[in-house]
Amino acid sequence: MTTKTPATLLSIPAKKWLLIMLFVVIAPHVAYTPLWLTIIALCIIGWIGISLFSQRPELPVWGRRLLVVGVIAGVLIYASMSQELAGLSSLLIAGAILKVLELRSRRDGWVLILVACFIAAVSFLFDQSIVAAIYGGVSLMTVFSALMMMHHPNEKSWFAFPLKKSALILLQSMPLMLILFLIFPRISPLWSIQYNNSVAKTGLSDGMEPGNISQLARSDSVAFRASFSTGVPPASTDRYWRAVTYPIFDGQRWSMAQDGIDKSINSSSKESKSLVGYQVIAEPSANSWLFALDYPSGLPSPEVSAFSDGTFRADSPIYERLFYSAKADLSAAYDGRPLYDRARYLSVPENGNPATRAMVAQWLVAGLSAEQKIAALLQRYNEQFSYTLSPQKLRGDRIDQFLFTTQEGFCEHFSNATAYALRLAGIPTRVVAGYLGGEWNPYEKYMLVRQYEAHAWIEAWLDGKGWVRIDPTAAVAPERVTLPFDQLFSDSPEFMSDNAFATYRMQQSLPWLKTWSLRYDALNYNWHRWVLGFHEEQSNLLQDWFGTISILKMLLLLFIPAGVALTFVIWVLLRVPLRKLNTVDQEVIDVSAVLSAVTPFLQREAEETVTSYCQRVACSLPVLRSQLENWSALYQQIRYVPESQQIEQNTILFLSCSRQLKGDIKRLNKQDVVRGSID
Amino acid sequence: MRKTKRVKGRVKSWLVNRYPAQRSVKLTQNRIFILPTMAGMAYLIVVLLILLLAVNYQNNLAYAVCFTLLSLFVTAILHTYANLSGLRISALTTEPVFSNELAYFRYQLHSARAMNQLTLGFNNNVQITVDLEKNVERNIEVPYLCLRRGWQRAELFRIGSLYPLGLFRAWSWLRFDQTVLVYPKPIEGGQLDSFVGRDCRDNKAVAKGDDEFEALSAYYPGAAKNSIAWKAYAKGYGLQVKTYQGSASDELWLDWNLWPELSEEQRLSCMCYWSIQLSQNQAQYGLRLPEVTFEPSVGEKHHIKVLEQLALYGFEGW
Repeated sequence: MTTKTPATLLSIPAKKWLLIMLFVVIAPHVAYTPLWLTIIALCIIGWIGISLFSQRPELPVWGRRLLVVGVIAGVLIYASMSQELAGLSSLLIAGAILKVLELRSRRDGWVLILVACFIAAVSFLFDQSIVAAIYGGVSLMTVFSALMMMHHPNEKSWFAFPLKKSALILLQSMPLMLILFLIFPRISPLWSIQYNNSVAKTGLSDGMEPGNISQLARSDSVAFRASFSTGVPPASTDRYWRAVTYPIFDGQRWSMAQDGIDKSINSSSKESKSLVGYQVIAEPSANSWLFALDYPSGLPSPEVSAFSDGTFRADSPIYERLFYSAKADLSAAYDGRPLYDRARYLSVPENGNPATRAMVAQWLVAGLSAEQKIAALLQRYNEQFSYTLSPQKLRGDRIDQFLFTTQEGFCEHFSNATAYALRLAGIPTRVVAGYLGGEWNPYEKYMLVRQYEAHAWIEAWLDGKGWVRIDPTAAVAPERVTLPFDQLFSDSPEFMSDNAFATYRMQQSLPWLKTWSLRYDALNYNWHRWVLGFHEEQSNLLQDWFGTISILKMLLLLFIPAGVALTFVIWVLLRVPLRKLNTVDQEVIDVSAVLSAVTPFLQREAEETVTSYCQRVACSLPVLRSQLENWSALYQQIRYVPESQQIEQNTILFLSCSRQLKGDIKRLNKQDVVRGSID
Repeated sequence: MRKTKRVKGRVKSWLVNRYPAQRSVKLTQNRIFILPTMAGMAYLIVVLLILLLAVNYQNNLAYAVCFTLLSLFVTAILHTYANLSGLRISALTTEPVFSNELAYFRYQLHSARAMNQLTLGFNNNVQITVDLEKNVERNIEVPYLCLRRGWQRAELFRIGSLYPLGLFRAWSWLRFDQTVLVYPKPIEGGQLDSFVGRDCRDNKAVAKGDDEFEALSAYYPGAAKNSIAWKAYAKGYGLQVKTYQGSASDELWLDWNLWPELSEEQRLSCMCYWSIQLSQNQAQYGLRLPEVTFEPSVGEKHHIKVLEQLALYGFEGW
């Protein structure tokens, strides 16, 4: 059948596919668009979809205009109020939805397709999980199915056919896509953007009051992942990850120093046996602090600044995963530098907590050394205190209450009281908050540290030894240091009360569930490392392959193969085909060549027909006249009388005739007849 | 505007010289052109926007989308090319037409691969779209509006395809050694005095019966059914055609000098019109042109010969 439809109108299957595409592409954005827009979108897609199957009146023009004006106004108001990205995606979606109202020509279809491509890309700014990536592949497939249907309206198998075909084309595009992904240089952002998406602030805060670290025990969200250059994790007693230090105490709250902590210039990376290299993938936390394995040694990678209190900080709050590598000296020795700003580490409020003050006064009277004071306190903890996730509320002189009344608490209670008591006793202290522990994933050899592993300990300045880590929790509950946190507290009702399923997973009764969850996390880890964080790995990978990398080199790498391929294609396309001459014509050229060898005057001119040429030659060589006439007549017959039978015979005749002609010319030439006759 | 026309004309003449007219053509890489469509360019702009998004948000999945779209763009070149490459087109014979009518140039398409959404057409004429199955020959008719009488050679025509994604347009120009004869446009006018009055009578006669007919002659293909002598046929004399007295008595001549007031083309058009009229009525008529004279006769063959002469009157070739 020859179809004569205007090719620029969209067919019904093409419209169906465009609607399917729109639905699929918009679906993941529902969480980030206002509800009313979602409802309007569903109504419009549904309405147009129904009208494709049964004739239904279209929306009247005024209704359409009202809808367009209303939606645009609504989205503009929403976009101006919301964060940048949600506003952007709502604008795109509203545009696409309104375009559906006039879906007639192929041009309209193209607008939808292009917007859908962009929406699909924008959705990855909200969610970058593996599932989201797979979904993205599916939505690209629907985009190309719709595109194919626009150019090949196939009524018979309108659903399966384009899906299959677009899957095939996508698959064929994968190799080039992977090459581009691997070698395309990851340029730093062209302009700065505020990227405040929905990263909730989880993790440690800029201050510590008893209670706010134990809040974290409710959360099993990932704080960071770390892998070690040795391939094995450090001993469980060495897994102290410091994030922040709190040197300032106001009687209630420990807080970070707003000043006086310098960027570290310590780059003395002495080769020590206990030096461990590690890489950290920090999850977005909306905070800028990062995780340093005790004790940081040398300088971390340039994404991260190291500070003199042994902490790492990013340049800005982390809204996306951050990759960095650093080194730690697990048994760092004191470098001999004096304590700067000793007064800050000793300052406590003038009054309060009389019982504690009395206890410290006793120590002073007894003339205990710093180590003895610490030992006395830890001894007390060990004998009389208990470790719990649900301590009683403290009021008033909290430290007194804790030390002498409740005698139970979480790590922050212990570090709070210890740091305070030691300061009273004249020992400079600071509270360190960070993470202790982590789950080792044997499949991918990395350590997963979750929020519930948040921990607080203290550091005391001992003259001649420098800052020394003291973990009072270890004195109360040594198992907190040696056992995984989840095993310790899986029975406690407060532990991970936010996530019932995760608690269930922690029950050791289901080992296969645990294995699978480890495997799943290993997959995620690789995903984060190789796909989402590829810009971190790229330079290493390429360096391994091609030596040192520069933008210029990468661009060359990109353009040289493309250029070679393109040149080849152009060469093939534009190559002038060597036209094979007819044997008859070749004979004419040969005869002319033989004659011109005799005298250039007898060469055939470009414009000369064979007949007139023969006449001219015959004038010069009357001897050959009859032969030439015969020859040219045969030529005329072969070339211009289309009778297949005679051509074959005549060609044979012609060839023998011209052979004879050439022979005669040469003979005559030897006898100088030619020259003579011309003269 | 004029400049682009001139450039187009040059390109076209280059193409005409590049490919000699043939009866059959196989599309290969030195005949197929591929360029991105406007939509394809817009697609590239969107790819660029996504790249900006990826760069600014340092988002590797957005990079992946960008590169997927870009590689698809490249893959589409091959697919578009493959949808045209290897297609064999052969020219078939073409029926004569009257001037200002669409001539249908016939072609046979064949390909070892299935091909989709091929559009074919002469410049500024109706385009037709076909799908081609694998190894199935398919005949198509490509319309061309003939404006001049005489031999009309098949113009350069275009076969193109946007399949599968519309990002690229692949096309090829084809020139076939193929002609169609265009008769003059029949225009009613110029009385044929001796005929008009009798024309009605004739029709009446046919309606009345067979009392006025003069003789039977042998049947010729194309004879009107109502002129066949069915009675004679029933008697076993074979198929005979009734010839009417009137048509035989005065000899009708389509004479070049009948309408001296008309221009040459108008005369030819009128003669064409009357030859059709006369043939429909089985009238016996002759043709008198300045250089050619056909003795009066009837029948389809005669009619066609007359039309050919009218078409080629003064035709000097291309």
